[in-house]
Amino acid sequence: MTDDRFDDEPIDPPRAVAETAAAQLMDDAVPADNYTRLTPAERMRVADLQWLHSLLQQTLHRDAVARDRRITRACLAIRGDAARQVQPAAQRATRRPRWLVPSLVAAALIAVAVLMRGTGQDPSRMAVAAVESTLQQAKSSEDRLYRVETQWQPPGELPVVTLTGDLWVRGNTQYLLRQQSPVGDLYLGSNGTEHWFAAPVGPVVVGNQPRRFEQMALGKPVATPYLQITSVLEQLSDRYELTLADEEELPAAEDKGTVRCTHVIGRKRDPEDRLAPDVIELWTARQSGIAYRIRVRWTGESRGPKELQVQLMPLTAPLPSDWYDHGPHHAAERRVVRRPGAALIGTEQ
Amino acid sequence: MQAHELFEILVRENADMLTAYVRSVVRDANAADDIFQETMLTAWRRLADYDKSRPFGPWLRGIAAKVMLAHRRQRARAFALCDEEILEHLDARCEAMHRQPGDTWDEKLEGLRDCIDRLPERYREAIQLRYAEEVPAEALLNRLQITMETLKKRLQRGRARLLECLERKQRWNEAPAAVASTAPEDFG
Repeated sequence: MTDDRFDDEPIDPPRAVAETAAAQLMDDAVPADNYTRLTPAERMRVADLQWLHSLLQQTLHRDAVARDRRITRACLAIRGDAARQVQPAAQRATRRPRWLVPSLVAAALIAVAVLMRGTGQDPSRMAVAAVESTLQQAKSSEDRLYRVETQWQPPGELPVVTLTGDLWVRGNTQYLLRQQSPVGDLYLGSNGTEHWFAAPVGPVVVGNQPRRFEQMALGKPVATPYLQITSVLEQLSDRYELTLADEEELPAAEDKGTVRCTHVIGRKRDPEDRLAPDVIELWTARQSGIAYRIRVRWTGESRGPKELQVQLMPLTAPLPSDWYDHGPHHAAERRVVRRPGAALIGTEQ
Repeated sequence: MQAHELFEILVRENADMLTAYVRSVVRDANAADDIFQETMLTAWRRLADYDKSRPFGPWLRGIAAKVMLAHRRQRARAFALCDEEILEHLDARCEAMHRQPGDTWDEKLEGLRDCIDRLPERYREAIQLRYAEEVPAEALLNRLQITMETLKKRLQRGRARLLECLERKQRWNEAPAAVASTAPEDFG
């Protein structure tokens, strides 16, 4: 170890509290609630250190790709909004600045032109672009709710079984599946560091090996990657031949009209890739770029999942901050078993 | 030029400033990107309310502050310290940065680069590895041959020194004189 005598220089005591708090907030992601008792001066010192932290990220780790993606995403949202507002803006002309209405009409035309130019009007490139932009949307940390329906072929001559469940997702690391079963709901989730499984009976199992827990819930590895919307979209992008089908108006939730969707059909490139489903279809909302419906089909399997569909549903209230933890989804007295070696994995943004 | 094209120029020109402002309170990168987009979209939708005689940057940050406060209630874990007072304080820091020489945000960061260069080696190394290479803590310890405790001290002291340097360079204690009237980012 190197000589660290210089590191023992005293820190100005009034500042030490703030500097330690700032370091814990930024380096250890300690909850901000832990620092409610800081003095006003200490809080401002922490704010300055947070500001410095942000500037250091920009100065020393300039991520041009992330910057471009951030700007492009915002601009696309604005263009989409401009196009969407054309009709209402014309109808509300008396309430809007007069210069804005013709501008919005032209903006919509420009947006369409730019989008068409950007893709060279090549349907397959447009399909790729639709999947990519939907993937970026799916990676955002906003909570979303999907209704999941799985068509399942049991062994033998038994009829196909339909399983339904609800899937909440946040970005590409957190999800919660609530699946109905004959003996009660079972839950499978991840808060990004802990993966867990809670059946109606038996212990709640917590660990850090996602696939194991997904297999416990769905019973077959072939279906496990399809819980994560981002995984499906990444597969679609990487392993499937994409074609652009006609746009479709899908019914909106609660009979509130329709949602215009871009429809992309992906057929797997490698027929020998037995675990991959044969067809993945994506309907992505034109306005928001959000994955509105995904349908996954296996045509060759004589048993197991035949089709899995996830459909975006409205999220009526904000989710509690611990929604993706196991605690809120089982009785407090249930036994929780941690698998050996299931230490938490630290993450830092 | 159409309204949305003009606005997209403003999005690009203010992107780095807004990112710095948002990331100073939002720890989660995805959440910060969501807030960035929501802020820009809200600004676009409220463009009719914007007073063209005022600088655009503070107006945009005002929207961002409201968006962040709303998000903080739902996603507390994604945030560091964040309340109205803190956001106001950070807004002042943005203004101080805005007064720095240079046309672009990146040019305005030159002062900080200079501060980093002036750091004692042991602090500079820790800071650079922590931010530039995003080296995981364990690898960092092996590379620097120091303990976790020492690393934390070096990062803490390095940041404290950088803050002092930045404070001197940007004259945080001085009142911002006529900032609004000189802002080059005016919309219009």
